[in-house]
Amino acid sequence: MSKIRKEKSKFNSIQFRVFLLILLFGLIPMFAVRIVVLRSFEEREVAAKNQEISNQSKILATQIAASDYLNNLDSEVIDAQINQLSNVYDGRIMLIDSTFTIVKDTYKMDEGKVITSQEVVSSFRGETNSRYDREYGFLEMTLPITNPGQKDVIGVFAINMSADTIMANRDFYRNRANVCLIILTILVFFGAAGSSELIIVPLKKLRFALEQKKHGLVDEEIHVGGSSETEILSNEINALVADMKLVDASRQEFVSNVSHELKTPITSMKVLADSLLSQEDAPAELYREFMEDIANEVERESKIIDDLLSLVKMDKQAAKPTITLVNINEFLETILKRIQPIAEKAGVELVLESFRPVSAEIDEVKLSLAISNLVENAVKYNKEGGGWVHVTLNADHQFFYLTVEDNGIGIPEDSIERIFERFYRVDKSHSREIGGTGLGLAITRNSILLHRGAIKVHSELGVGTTFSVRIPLNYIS
Amino acid sequence: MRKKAGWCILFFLICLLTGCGTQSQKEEQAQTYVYYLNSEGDKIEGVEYDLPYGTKKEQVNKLLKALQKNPGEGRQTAIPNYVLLVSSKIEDNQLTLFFNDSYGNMDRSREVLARAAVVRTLLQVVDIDFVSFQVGDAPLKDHKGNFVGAMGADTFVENVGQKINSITEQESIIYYASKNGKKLVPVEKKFYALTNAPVEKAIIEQLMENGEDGEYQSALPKETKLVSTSTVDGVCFVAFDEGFLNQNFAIKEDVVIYSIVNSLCELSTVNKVQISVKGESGQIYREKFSLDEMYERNLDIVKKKKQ
Repeated sequence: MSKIRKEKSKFNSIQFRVFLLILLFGLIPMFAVRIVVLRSFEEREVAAKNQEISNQSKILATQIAASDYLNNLDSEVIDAQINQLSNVYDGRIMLIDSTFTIVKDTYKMDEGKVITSQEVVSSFRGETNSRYDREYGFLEMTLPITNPGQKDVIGVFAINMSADTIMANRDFYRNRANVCLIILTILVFFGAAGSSELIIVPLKKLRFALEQKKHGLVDEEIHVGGSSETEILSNEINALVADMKLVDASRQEFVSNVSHELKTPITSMKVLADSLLSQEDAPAELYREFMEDIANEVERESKIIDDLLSLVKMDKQAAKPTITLVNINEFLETILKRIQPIAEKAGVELVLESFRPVSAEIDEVKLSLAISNLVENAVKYNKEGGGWVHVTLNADHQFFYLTVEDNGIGIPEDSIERIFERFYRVDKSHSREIGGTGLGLAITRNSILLHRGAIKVHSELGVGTTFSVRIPLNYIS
Repeated sequence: MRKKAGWCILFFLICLLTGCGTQSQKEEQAQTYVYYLNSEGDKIEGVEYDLPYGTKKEQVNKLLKALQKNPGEGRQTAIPNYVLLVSSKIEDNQLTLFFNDSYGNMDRSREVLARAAVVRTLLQVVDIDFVSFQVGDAPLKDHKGNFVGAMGADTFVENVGQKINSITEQESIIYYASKNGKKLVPVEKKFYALTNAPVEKAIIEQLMENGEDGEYQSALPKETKLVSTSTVDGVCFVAFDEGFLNQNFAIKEDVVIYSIVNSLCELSTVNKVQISVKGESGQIYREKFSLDEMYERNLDIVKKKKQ
């Protein structure tokens, strides 16, 4: 079974196809031309000969009719002309009378016999026939001898000759053509093989370069010139490798971030616990205070783990979201209601503006998480007093548009591109005070992309930030 | 065990088949045809026919029946069905067919083709060498009013063109009788013959011609028909039919004999000639020449060229 597969794959290669194509496009026209030229040559020669004989024969036939030669065979003039015609064309002339008897035969062999061939019969009915028989190698012409006055057929004039000169010529040309054909076929064959090898060289180089890369022998970019296709391929491969390296790097970063983030609360807990244990007679209030701190750290750790889990879940469940038709206005009101207390506490004004009623097919849970994150961030990263968060909802016939605008601390320009990365914090030093896990925007983005939506951010440091979200009204799977 | 049995059976079957093959070959050596015309009536076409073994008469009747049967599929019977075959008669090697007067209603070309087809069909019977037609109570006449007579294997030709590449021009000295019949006249003759036909036959055919202006004449009697020739080890055996015995007393006996002998000895393959008549031996030609002897070239009686 594997042997057959190997053979199949040999014929599957581009090189073989190129070879075959060149071979066919080289050979087929050659063969076609050869056949056409030889055949038309032969036909032309036959036609020319026919024309020659036909003219002479017709003249002679008329004379034969006029002198009643068929009945008395007595005319030196006509005898001489018949002999001359047969000599000039090296052919056999026969005259047949109305009883179908051969009355004159320049070869004498069949004189007196009755001829019954189809050509003769048809000539008695008035037709002129000329025939080239390739199998037996002869040319034959039969024409009626008509009585000049009454226009009836009184006999048939038949001439046949060997087609050997025509066939010899044809054979000569054919042999020449065959020799040429053979030489050319060999040349085309080797040309095709050579060309296909040459064409394939860049691909082979590419393959070699990739193998080297695979074995880790080469870490730099690969550049295989020789053809624009391999150049493009090389560039694409390099980009792919760079992307993968990036992904690998970010994955490494993610792992180290996760470890760090998970470790931090645990370290705090340990410190608190150790310090408690180290004190021999600590008062109950101290225990209470330290326990509260520990509880907070536990809660924080729990939140981080929850976020991580939901992120992982979202990655896994990318294929099957739970889609329902939801009234977005109500949906947003619910989210804002939940966040309202937090906003009040931070002294931030929270406003929802709906331009029209909107209903859309969404996964309620995931999108709720996403929007909540945006609003919570807007509240969190805001000023101490006089801060506001505006949430607007609009829609056209295809999408609904959501904006979350705040007049908070803003995001520096060089960080804007990175805010959606997992665990990315703009201000690492104050991350604990501000709280959160650094995963919020990653989750948000993931969620929105799941709905085949889009999210954009515009921000100015010290002025404020606007997040714009666009989501299709009808879920596209 | 099973495989061996299988091979044995196969071997046995093959033997059986080859046995059958050879047997059927003995019964019919050459394929027999019945000749019909195509539907346009301008071509003779042969259809294979299994002629069963039987007497001459039986075979002739079978063929006559087949000839009158409708061949179907684009063909027609050679003789149209308004012409009746009344009876047939076999005498020795000649078959005579009697038709009714409607035979004359056929047009010229149809009649010739029909005749050729029927004759070719019937000549396939062994020992039928000639066929003649009678219409009403008279022998058949052709379009010009000449009697058609007995038709044999040489009467009709069809594919003349095909032969052209196997005909060559040949040259030989033919010894004819002089004007007065007393001497031999050598004539350089060019003639055409089929390359694979025996040259001896062609030479004898040339012998039977007469020269123009009576310069020379054929030494052989007019009705002579050559039955066969064969050359073995330089000796040519020539067999004539009884027509050879019709003497033309104007020509001397030795001129007759030596016109044959000298002409044939011109061939490099022939040194001696033995003549026979009707296949019988022990005859004496005109009381002088024993036909058992082998004769060599004799140039004494050749007419000398005048200087």
